[in-house]
Amino acid sequence: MFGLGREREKEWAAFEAEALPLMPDVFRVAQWLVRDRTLAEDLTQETFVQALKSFHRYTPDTNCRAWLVTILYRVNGKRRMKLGQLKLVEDTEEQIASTVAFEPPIPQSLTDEDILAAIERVSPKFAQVVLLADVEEFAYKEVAELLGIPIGTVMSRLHRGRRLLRQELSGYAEGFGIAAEG
Amino acid sequence: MYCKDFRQLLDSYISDELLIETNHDVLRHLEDCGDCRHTLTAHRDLRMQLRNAIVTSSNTQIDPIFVSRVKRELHQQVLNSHGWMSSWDLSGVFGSRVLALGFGCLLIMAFGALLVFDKTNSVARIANSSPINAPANVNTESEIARSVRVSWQQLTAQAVGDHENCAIDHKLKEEPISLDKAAKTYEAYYNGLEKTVDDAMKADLTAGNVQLLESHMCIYDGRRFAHIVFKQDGKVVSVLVTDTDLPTGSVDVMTAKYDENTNAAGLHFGHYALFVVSDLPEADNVTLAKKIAPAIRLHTEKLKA
Repeated sequence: MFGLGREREKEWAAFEAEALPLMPDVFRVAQWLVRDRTLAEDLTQETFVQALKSFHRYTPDTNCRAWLVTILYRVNGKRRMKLGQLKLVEDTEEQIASTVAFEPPIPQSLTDEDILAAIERVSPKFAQVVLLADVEEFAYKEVAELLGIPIGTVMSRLHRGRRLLRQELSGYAEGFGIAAEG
Repeated sequence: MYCKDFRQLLDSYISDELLIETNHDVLRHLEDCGDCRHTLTAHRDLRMQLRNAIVTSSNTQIDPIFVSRVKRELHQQVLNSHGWMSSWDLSGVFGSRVLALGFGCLLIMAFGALLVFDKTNSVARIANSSPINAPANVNTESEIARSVRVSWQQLTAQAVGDHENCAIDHKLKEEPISLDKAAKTYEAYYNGLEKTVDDAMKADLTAGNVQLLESHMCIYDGRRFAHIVFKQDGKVVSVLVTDTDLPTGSVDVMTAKYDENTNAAGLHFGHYALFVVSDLPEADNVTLAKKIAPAIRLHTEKLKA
């Protein structure tokens, strides 16, 4: 009565082949999104529950990772909305970005730990776009769709985020006497 | 191209986000400028190092036990569920408990969901006033009551689904249309409904900070809803009106709790049903539904006259 039909078997096989291998990627994005392992696991699990339900809407062999991360952001948005954390704020990054005139040099000889510590110090709003674009290698357009913001805002946040990261690294390098390179 | 221009384009160049022509300009500049080549290498290396640091960080490594558990539970969900592709997430519960509760929710849906309805008074009224003719040899009261309650339960589920999928997730299959257009295309009662509801919502100054966000006609699970979305005390509140064939006066205010946050309050009058769905406390939804209902009833009656 509850056995898998042939269609359902095929869908599950496709889901298993295309979506499930991307769970580590989704978890990594979730972890950087909420910076809490338990919450990131909850988000990842809920993302795959939702993805399984709507897998019939996914077009095979398109960008499954972007599709899953979109669901992840939606699930997280819903969670934040329920917690009353989702606020509409004035988008002022254009103004903020324009106030940073100094382009710090990139320090040499940094360890992974230095870099992780630096990105953690960058405001999540800016760090998020840097991670999506520079680490996860989503195109600017995809980042805009994931975050539901205009592409111009993505670019200004990226500009600001990368600069903040370099400033953090520069400050770190100076503190430890590591040579900086321009 | 000058070095200053190159530095502005540098990150987009590394991300391969430049137009072909601009890319050529950058390449030409790099051929002649050793300093910029050096800067490019430094930026590229930093990005590579950032990527490696994050991808290999122990913090971002997924627990293989977690992966196999999720995979097993998802597969179990497919095996257990009839409607694993259904568009309405009845579980609705956020977190790792969701799958553990999933099957239980299905059972509750099938056998016990009616228990969440606050309907004690309505059952007797349904039995006494309903025009439905039930067979003489069955328990008339319980059969009619059950029939109405099941219909009402389905209607409430659709209203909650519309709230979740339209107002919260914005993922309806069909694009909503304006109430004006809906009035011309479908039924006249959509016309002016936004103002009626907005006035009623804002009539009581003790209701807190109420802000009208949008209104439209949307379709969820094959049912058309006039959907007016408000924000009250920071929470999204959906007011949903739909037409129904339920027997007139068959139900009082009913409330339903769908997950740890979402509550629905519904009222039925004439050929219409009204729902207030939100994350507000259950009692607040009921208060709102009772407050709006007379205005909507008047609105629909005026149209008939």
